[in-house]
Amino acid sequence: MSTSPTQPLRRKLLLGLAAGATAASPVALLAKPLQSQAHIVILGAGAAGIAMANRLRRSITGARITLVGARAQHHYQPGYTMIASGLWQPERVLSSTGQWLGNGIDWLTQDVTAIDARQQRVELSNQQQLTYDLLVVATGCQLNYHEIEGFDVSMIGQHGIGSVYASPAAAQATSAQIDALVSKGEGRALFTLSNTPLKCAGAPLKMTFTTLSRLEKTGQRERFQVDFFSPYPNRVFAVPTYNDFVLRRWQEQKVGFFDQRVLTGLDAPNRTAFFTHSDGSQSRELYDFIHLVPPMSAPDVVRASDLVWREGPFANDWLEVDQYSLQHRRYPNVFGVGDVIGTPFGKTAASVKMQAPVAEHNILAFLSGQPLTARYNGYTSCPLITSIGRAILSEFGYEGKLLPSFGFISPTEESWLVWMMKEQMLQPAYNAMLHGKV
Amino acid sequence: MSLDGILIILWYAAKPWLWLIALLLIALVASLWFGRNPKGKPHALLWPVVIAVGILAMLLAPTLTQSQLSYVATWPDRLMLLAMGVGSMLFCWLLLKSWFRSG
Repeated sequence: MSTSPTQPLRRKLLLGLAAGATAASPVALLAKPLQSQAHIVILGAGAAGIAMANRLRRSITGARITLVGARAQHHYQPGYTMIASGLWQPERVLSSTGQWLGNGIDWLTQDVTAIDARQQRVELSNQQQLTYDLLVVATGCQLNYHEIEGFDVSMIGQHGIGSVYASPAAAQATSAQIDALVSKGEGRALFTLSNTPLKCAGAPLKMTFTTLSRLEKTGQRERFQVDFFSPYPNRVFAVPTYNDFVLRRWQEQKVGFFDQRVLTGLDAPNRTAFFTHSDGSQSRELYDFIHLVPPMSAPDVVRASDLVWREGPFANDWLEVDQYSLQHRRYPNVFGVGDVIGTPFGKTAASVKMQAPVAEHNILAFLSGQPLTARYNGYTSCPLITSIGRAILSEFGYEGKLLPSFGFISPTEESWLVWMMKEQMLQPAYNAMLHGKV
Repeated sequence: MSLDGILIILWYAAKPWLWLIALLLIALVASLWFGRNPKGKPHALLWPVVIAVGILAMLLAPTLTQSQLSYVATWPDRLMLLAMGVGSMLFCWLLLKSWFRSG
């Protein structure tokens, strides 16, 4: 653990209050609520923020817990691919943020506009300033659609453009555009991948697979050309096992694969996409349908703060945390959870399910002045839909190590049972996670 | 994943269907209660009906989950499908055994 450039202002006070309240081990830390008068501020009222707020509310008494986030509607984002594949209605992924929050959590329906880590202070969109003893950054990530020249989010659902990431409505509009392609009876579908870390990096692959299912169902698959464009050499997924499977399957399904090409521009009315190659050259591709994947980063407010990585592969784009403890590497009273963190893996809802208890353990340890012993192993899970009706339960961690949860489910076999888990069981698991129960 | 974690998730999954589970349980209890003194022998068609229900459940389960029977490919898939069929048969038999009688 690196040392802080400034000693947290009220650290001694916090330590004094917490001393003697807990035993030494993380398990003991959770055995009974910790007594503390810390002001804990959680930035972000999405899945990670809500889960952390509910967990900390239960495991700490006396503390003031403030959740900051303007979005009143909560979205079950893992359901977006189901909507964009024409299987779910948007209503199925919508709920109110407030319904997930337990008693004793102060929810401020504002966005954070500035973070001053040295002064332990954040500023909100209503000009209010909040000081904190401990900060949890769980803002999620930012979709940088504007980096695709000529494109605007409002174009999703028009000119053959789809993108599963933007919103439930955008996912539904994406499905409608795929329907339009199917109705046309022929045409070319392009699928892209951006060259940044992605939340749910399997989503672009799932969209390709489910669109293939819809095209195959017409009985005239040969009338459609399906091509995938990846910025990486011979790679569409970071874990070799799954990457090899996907590329092999696409070869069987006659999907054209074009690597080392980044989507950099779009001429929507003329249905033309512009790609920049790894050697700097450019090419244009005509399409009837295109699925866009936006470049992603931490929100600008995090990027503009001193909390962002200053060097390495995540520099200037993602929250700097120790990839195992989830504690900020320079500001010990700052922790990160969810899509915002700059770690090699960990940008799915299932990742949050594993990160939240680790962050909770380590926050309690920090408040008690004890060593941070809980470790996040990079667990990331994604039921990789390979066709409408079957999927592979891909679970992996740092260095691409496979981490299967169920011994009886092969991590490399397509299965109806895994599809059922995706279709029926993941949302209940997600809901339990929001409540901090799993 | 821990057992308590699995149970919690199953509980969350069951919550939207509690009304249906309650309805099925009420039907079962009522059937067993009112049919506690059965008369006559079980009808010759009882077992064919029970087996047909089980087979129907197995055939429909993939479709009801927006999948298809040909995707039931791994042994856990087949085991799940079998469990659904056997469960449906068992429920049907318990429900009908007191009433579906001859003589």
